[in-house]
Amino acid sequence: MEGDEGLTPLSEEQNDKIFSFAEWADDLCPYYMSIGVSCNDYWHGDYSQLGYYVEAHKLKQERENYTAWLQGAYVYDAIGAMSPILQAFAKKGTKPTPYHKEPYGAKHVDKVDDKPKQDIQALNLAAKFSAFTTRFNQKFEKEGIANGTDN
Amino acid sequence: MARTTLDFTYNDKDYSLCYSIDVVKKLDKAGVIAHIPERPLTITEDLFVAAFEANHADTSNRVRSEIYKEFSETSEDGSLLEILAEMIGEVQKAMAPKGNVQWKVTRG
Repeated sequence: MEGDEGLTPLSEEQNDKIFSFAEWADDLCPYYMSIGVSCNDYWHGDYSQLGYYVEAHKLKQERENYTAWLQGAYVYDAIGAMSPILQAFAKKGTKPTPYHKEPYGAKHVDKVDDKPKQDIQALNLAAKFSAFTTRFNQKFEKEGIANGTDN
Repeated sequence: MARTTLDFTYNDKDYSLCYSIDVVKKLDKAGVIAHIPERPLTITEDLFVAAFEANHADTSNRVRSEIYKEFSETSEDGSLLEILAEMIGEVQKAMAPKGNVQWKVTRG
Protein backbone atom coordinates (compact mmCIF):
# COMPACT_ATOMS: atom_id res chain seq x y z
CA MET A 1 0.00 0.00 0.00
CA GLU A 2 1.33 3.40 -0.94
CA GLY A 3 2.47 5.62 1.89
CA ASP A 4 2.48 2.75 4.38
CA GLU A 5 6.09 1.75 4.55
CA GLY A 6 5.49 -0.60 7.49
CA LEU A 7 3.59 -3.08 5.36
CA THR A 8 6.08 -3.35 2.47
CA PRO A 9 7.39 -6.87 1.85
CA LEU A 10 10.50 -7.66 3.85
CA SER A 11 13.63 -9.45 2.79
CA GLU A 12 14.19 -12.97 4.13
CA GLU A 13 16.86 -11.76 6.54
CA GLN A 14 14.58 -9.05 7.95
CA ASN A 15 11.75 -11.53 8.15
CA ASP A 16 13.81 -13.90 10.32
CA LYS A 17 14.65 -11.10 12.73
CA ILE A 18 11.11 -9.76 12.99
CA PHE A 19 9.50 -13.10 13.66
CA SER A 20 11.93 -13.98 16.42
CA PHE A 21 9.68 -12.80 19.26
CA ALA A 22 6.62 -14.55 17.85
CA GLU A 23 8.52 -17.80 17.47
CA TRP A 24 10.03 -17.43 20.88
CA ALA A 25 6.59 -16.86 22.40
CA ASP A 26 5.28 -19.94 20.57
CA ASP A 27 8.23 -22.03 21.79
CA LEU A 28 7.77 -20.98 25.40
CA CYS A 29 4.03 -21.65 25.48
CA PRO A 30 4.37 -25.45 25.97
CA TYR A 31 6.95 -24.90 28.72
CA TYR A 32 4.61 -22.63 30.68
CA MET A 33 1.68 -24.97 30.08
CA SER A 34 3.78 -27.81 31.51
CA ILE A 35 4.20 -25.89 34.77
CA GLY A 36 0.51 -25.12 35.14
CA VAL A 37 -0.18 -21.93 33.19
CA SER A 38 -3.31 -22.26 31.08
CA CYS A 39 -3.03 -21.48 27.39
CA ASN A 40 -5.46 -18.59 27.74
CA ASP A 41 -3.58 -17.10 30.72
CA TYR A 42 -0.31 -17.36 28.85
CA TRP A 43 -1.48 -15.52 25.74
CA HIS A 44 -4.05 -13.13 27.18
CA GLY A 45 -3.41 -12.97 30.92
CA ASP A 46 -1.07 -11.01 33.14
CA TYR A 47 2.44 -11.95 32.02
CA SER A 48 3.90 -10.69 35.30
CA GLN A 49 2.41 -13.78 37.00
CA LEU A 50 4.61 -16.10 34.94
CA GLY A 51 7.51 -15.60 37.35
CA TYR A 52 5.42 -16.98 40.23
CA TYR A 53 4.67 -20.11 38.22
CA VAL A 54 8.39 -20.61 37.60
CA GLU A 55 9.19 -20.17 41.31
CA ALA A 56 6.35 -22.50 42.31
CA HIS A 57 7.62 -25.09 39.84
CA LYS A 58 11.10 -24.89 41.34
CA LEU A 59 9.72 -25.44 44.85
CA LYS A 60 7.66 -28.39 43.64
CA GLN A 61 10.71 -29.91 41.98
CA GLU A 62 12.75 -29.50 45.19
CA ARG A 63 10.01 -31.20 47.22
CA GLU A 64 9.75 -34.08 44.75
CA ASN A 65 13.52 -34.42 44.74
CA TYR A 66 13.60 -34.59 48.55
CA THR A 67 10.84 -37.23 48.58
CA ALA A 68 12.76 -39.33 46.06
CA TRP A 69 15.94 -38.96 48.12
CA LEU A 70 14.10 -39.98 51.29
CA GLN A 71 12.67 -43.05 49.60
CA GLY A 72 16.18 -43.98 48.48
CA ALA A 73 17.43 -43.60 52.04
CA TYR A 74 14.71 -45.96 53.36
CA VAL A 75 15.50 -48.54 50.68
CA TYR A 76 19.20 -48.26 51.55
CA ASP A 77 18.42 -48.82 55.25
CA ALA A 78 16.09 -51.73 54.48
CA ILE A 79 18.73 -53.51 52.39
CA GLY A 80 21.30 -52.77 55.09
CA ALA A 81 19.04 -54.35 57.70
CA MET A 82 18.62 -57.46 55.58
CA SER A 83 22.29 -57.69 54.62
CA PRO A 84 23.32 -60.18 57.37
CA ILE A 85 21.07 -62.89 55.90
CA LEU A 86 21.82 -61.98 52.31
CA GLN A 87 25.43 -63.11 52.60
CA ALA A 88 26.19 -66.37 50.83
CA PHE A 89 28.20 -67.76 53.74
CA ALA A 90 26.08 -66.43 56.57
CA LYS A 91 26.05 -68.62 59.68
CA LYS A 92 22.97 -70.66 60.42
CA GLY A 93 20.51 -68.78 62.59
CA THR A 94 21.65 -65.36 61.45
CA LYS A 95 18.80 -62.88 61.72
CA PRO A 96 18.30 -59.56 59.98
CA THR A 97 18.87 -56.47 62.07
CA PRO A 98 15.62 -54.72 62.93
CA TYR A 99 14.34 -52.01 60.64
CA HIS A 100 13.48 -48.54 61.96
CA LYS A 101 10.49 -48.66 64.28
CA GLU A 102 9.57 -45.10 63.29
CA PRO A 103 10.13 -42.93 60.23
CA TYR A 104 12.91 -40.37 60.26
CA GLY A 105 12.13 -37.41 62.43
CA ALA A 106 9.05 -39.02 64.07
CA LYS A 107 8.03 -37.32 67.31
CA HIS A 108 7.80 -39.44 70.48
CA VAL A 109 4.21 -38.62 71.29
CA ASP A 110 3.67 -41.69 73.52
CA LYS A 111 6.25 -40.63 76.09
CA VAL A 112 4.64 -37.22 76.41
CA ASP A 113 1.22 -38.85 76.91
CA ASP A 114 2.58 -41.15 79.66
CA LYS A 115 2.65 -38.40 82.28
CA PRO A 116 -1.12 -38.22 82.99
CA LYS A 117 -1.19 -42.03 83.14
CA GLN A 118 1.61 -42.03 85.74
CA ASP A 119 -0.24 -39.38 87.75
CA ILE A 120 -3.39 -41.53 87.85
CA GLN A 121 -1.39 -44.57 88.93
CA ALA A 122 0.21 -42.56 91.74
CA LEU A 123 -3.21 -41.33 92.88
CA ASN A 124 -4.55 -44.90 92.87
CA LEU A 125 -1.62 -46.08 95.01
CA ALA A 126 -2.15 -43.20 97.45
CA ALA A 127 -5.88 -44.03 97.71
CA LYS A 128 -5.14 -47.73 98.32
CA PHE A 129 -2.57 -46.88 100.99
CA SER A 130 -5.04 -44.49 102.64
CA ALA A 131 -7.75 -47.20 102.67
CA PHE A 132 -5.27 -49.70 104.10
CA THR A 133 -4.23 -47.35 106.97
CA THR A 134 -7.91 -46.60 107.75
CA ARG A 135 -8.76 -50.31 107.93
CA PHE A 136 -5.63 -50.99 110.00
CA ASN A 137 -6.53 -48.23 112.47
CA GLN A 138 -10.14 -49.46 112.75
CA LYS A 139 -8.93 -53.00 113.40
CA PHE A 140 -6.40 -51.75 115.97
CA GLU A 141 -9.08 -49.72 117.74
CA LYS A 142 -11.48 -52.73 117.88
CA GLU A 143 -8.78 -54.99 119.30
CA GLY A 144 -7.90 -52.35 121.92
CA ILE A 145 -11.53 -52.10 123.08
CA ALA A 146 -11.83 -55.89 123.29
CA ASN A 147 -8.68 -56.17 125.45
CA GLY A 148 -9.72 -53.25 127.69
CA THR A 149 -6.68 -51.25 126.83
CA ASP A 150 -8.57 -48.39 125.28
CA ASN A 151 -7.43 -45.00 126.45
CA MET B 1 5.73 -8.01 40.62
CA ALA B 2 3.02 -6.37 38.49
CA ARG B 3 2.81 -5.30 34.91
CA THR B 4 3.14 -1.64 33.95
CA THR B 5 -0.11 -0.06 32.83
CA LEU B 6 -1.01 3.23 31.21
CA ASP B 7 -3.97 4.57 33.18
CA PHE B 8 -6.23 7.49 32.28
CA THR B 9 -9.84 8.60 32.23
CA TYR B 10 -11.62 9.58 29.01
CA ASN B 11 -15.27 10.63 28.88
CA ASP B 12 -15.74 9.52 32.52
CA LYS B 13 -14.52 6.03 31.69
CA ASP B 14 -11.37 4.60 33.29
CA TYR B 15 -8.87 2.94 31.00
CA SER B 16 -5.90 0.80 31.92
CA LEU B 17 -3.78 0.01 28.89
CA CYS B 18 -1.28 -2.82 28.88
CA TYR B 19 0.04 -5.55 26.64
CA SER B 20 -0.42 -9.30 26.71
CA ILE B 21 1.94 -11.80 25.12
CA ASP B 22 -0.60 -12.37 22.36
CA VAL B 23 -0.75 -8.66 21.50
CA VAL B 24 3.04 -8.31 21.45
CA LYS B 25 3.27 -11.40 19.25
CA LYS B 26 0.78 -9.90 16.81
CA LEU B 27 2.66 -6.59 16.80
CA ASP B 28 5.87 -8.46 16.17
CA LYS B 29 4.36 -10.50 13.33
CA ALA B 30 2.97 -7.34 11.74
CA GLY B 31 6.46 -5.86 11.81
CA VAL B 32 5.43 -2.97 14.06
CA ILE B 33 8.05 -3.61 16.76
CA ALA B 34 10.84 -3.86 14.22
CA HIS B 35 9.90 -0.49 12.78
CA ILE B 36 9.89 1.47 16.04
CA PRO B 37 13.29 3.10 15.38
CA GLU B 38 12.39 3.85 11.75
CA ARG B 39 8.92 5.34 12.18
CA PRO B 40 8.76 6.74 15.72
CA LEU B 41 5.96 9.18 14.89
CA THR B 42 3.50 6.85 13.17
CA ILE B 43 4.37 3.82 15.24
CA THR B 44 3.25 5.45 18.50
CA GLU B 45 -0.38 5.41 17.40
CA ASP B 46 -0.15 1.76 16.33
CA LEU B 47 1.29 0.76 19.71
CA PHE B 48 -1.24 2.90 21.55
CA VAL B 49 -4.20 1.41 19.69
CA ALA B 50 -2.85 -2.12 20.28
CA ALA B 51 -2.51 -1.49 24.00
CA PHE B 52 -6.32 -1.49 24.31
CA GLU B 53 -6.53 -5.15 23.31
CA ALA B 54 -5.68 -6.67 26.69
CA ASN B 55 -8.24 -4.87 28.90
CA HIS B 56 -10.48 -2.91 26.52
CA ALA B 57 -10.85 -5.05 23.45
CA ASP B 58 -14.44 -3.86 23.03
CA THR B 59 -13.30 -0.27 22.46
CA SER B 60 -13.57 0.52 18.75
CA ASN B 61 -10.58 1.62 16.70
CA ARG B 62 -12.34 4.94 16.05
CA VAL B 63 -12.54 5.67 19.80
CA ARG B 64 -8.97 4.52 20.31
CA SER B 65 -7.75 6.91 17.62
CA GLU B 66 -9.87 9.71 19.08
CA ILE B 67 -8.31 9.18 22.48
CA TYR B 68 -4.86 9.08 20.94
CA LYS B 69 -5.42 12.43 19.23
CA GLU B 70 -6.36 14.02 22.54
CA PHE B 71 -3.69 12.22 24.47
CA SER B 72 -0.91 14.45 25.72
CA GLU B 73 2.31 13.34 24.09
CA THR B 74 4.43 13.56 27.20
CA SER B 75 3.93 13.10 30.90
CA GLU B 76 6.27 13.22 33.88
CA ASP B 77 7.11 9.55 33.21
CA GLY B 78 8.54 10.21 29.76
CA SER B 79 7.30 10.30 26.19
CA LEU B 80 4.39 8.07 25.23
CA LEU B 81 6.48 6.05 22.81
CA GLU B 82 9.14 5.42 25.46
CA ILE B 83 6.51 4.17 27.90
CA LEU B 84 4.86 1.92 25.32
CA ALA B 85 8.21 0.51 24.22
CA GLU B 86 9.12 -0.09 27.86
CA MET B 87 5.85 -1.95 28.39
CA ILE B 88 6.63 -4.19 25.43
CA GLY B 89 10.15 -4.80 26.72
CA GLU B 90 8.65 -5.77 30.06
CA VAL B 91 6.63 -8.55 28.39
CA GLN B 92 9.77 -10.05 26.90
CA LYS B 93 11.61 -9.76 30.21
CA ALA B 94 8.80 -11.38 32.23
CA MET B 95 8.58 -14.30 29.81
CA ALA B 96 12.18 -15.34 30.31
CA PRO B 97 12.12 -18.29 32.71
CA LYS B 98 15.13 -17.78 34.92
CA GLY B 99 17.73 -20.33 33.97
CA ASN B 100 15.35 -22.96 32.62
CA VAL B 101 15.37 -22.18 28.93
CA GLN B 102 18.14 -20.74 26.82
CA TRP B 103 16.83 -17.74 24.88
CA LYS B 104 17.89 -14.57 23.14
CA VAL B 105 16.14 -11.59 21.66
CA THR B 106 16.99 -10.57 18.13
CA ARG B 107 16.09 -6.98 17.36
CA GLY B 108 15.62 -5.80 13.78
